[in-house]
Amino acid sequence: MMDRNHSAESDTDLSAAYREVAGEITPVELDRFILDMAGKEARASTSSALSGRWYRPIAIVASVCLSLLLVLQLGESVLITPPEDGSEQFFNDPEPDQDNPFQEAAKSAASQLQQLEADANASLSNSSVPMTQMDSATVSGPSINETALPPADFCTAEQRADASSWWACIAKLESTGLTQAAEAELQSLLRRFPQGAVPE
Amino acid sequence: MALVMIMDGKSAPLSGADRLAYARCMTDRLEDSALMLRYQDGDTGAFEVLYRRHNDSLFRYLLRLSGDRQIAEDIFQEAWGKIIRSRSNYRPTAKFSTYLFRVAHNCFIDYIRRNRRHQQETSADPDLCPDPGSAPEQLVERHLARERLNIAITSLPDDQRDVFLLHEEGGFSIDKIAQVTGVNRETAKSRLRYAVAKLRASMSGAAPARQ
Repeated sequence: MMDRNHSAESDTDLSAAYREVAGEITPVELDRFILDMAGKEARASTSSALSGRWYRPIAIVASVCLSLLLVLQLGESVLITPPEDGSEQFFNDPEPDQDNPFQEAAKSAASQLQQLEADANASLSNSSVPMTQMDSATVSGPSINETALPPADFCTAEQRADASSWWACIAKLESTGLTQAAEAELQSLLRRFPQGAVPE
Repeated sequence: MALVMIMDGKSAPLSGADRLAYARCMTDRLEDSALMLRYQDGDTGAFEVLYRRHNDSLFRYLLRLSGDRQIAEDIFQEAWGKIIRSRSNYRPTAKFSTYLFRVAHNCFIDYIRRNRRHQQETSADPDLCPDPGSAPEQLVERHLARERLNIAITSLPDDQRDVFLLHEEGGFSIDKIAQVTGVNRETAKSRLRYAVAKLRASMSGAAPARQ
């Protein structure tokens, strides 16, 4: 075991003499102290290694769970992000909530609008004014607003019997601020007297 | 794998006591580095085998290097403490004995730096200069020779004593001594040559050659 490469520097007589001199051994107390220290250190490191054994797998499992949760959360946030093409289909609720008051109001407003449109179409089809008799340059076809006007009965039958007296009635209505009534009477006048002279 | 004993051409499984003896025998045959690696894994028995291999030689090395039993014991304890505490960093890149003596050597150098007056007080340890007492004539002569050698070793310069003790106690070659002491090969060789010459001269009673 000894790694002795005897060379010119070594001296066997001197080594033998030294062996005779050097007979000391380590004190027993010192041996015991060192071996006890080695045992304590080994036990301490073993106990720390054992204590580290149980929490390492738990830490790994916890890390994996947290990572999975994070991935799932990220996936959900991507799903609720509106598409870039702006399609409305994404926002449509396939099953509308019956208790939602906004949806109820929107539905009733839509039905009212449909009703109004139907009424307007009906009144438009009922108006049988001979457009050929009217001056297309001055009078356009009846609109929904015109049909909704009240009947032109502001002027009396005597006043309507004569174009000039009818004009006077219309002027009177206009001067009193009843412009819509004046307009209605004017329409009636023009239908009845299409060639009638308009007073200055 | 079951251990079996082959007797008269037949194999028989080993008993518990035999297994222990076999394990101890195999541990004793392991190399120092393997024992140290086992101790890294918590095998204190491996450390005890390793310690028993080197404790006395390291103690004598430190005893003669310091010239004081108490100092030797302190440095011995410090060196083994370092080996034990830094066992997880041990790598078997060199012989364990080289590693151990290097640690002890560095501990001694640290001690010298802490206590500059050490050199002036190393010559008079009664344990190293035993009284021959009332022995027969030959024993008296042998004791006188020992005393001269002890005094000669103690009076060597620290560097030369260190190299000589590493050679004798550690059994190191010049290259290993250079590795332990941190000097080049030629320096280690020169120091050993001077040390041997001085000790030989002191044993023969002649005046030692001056360095």
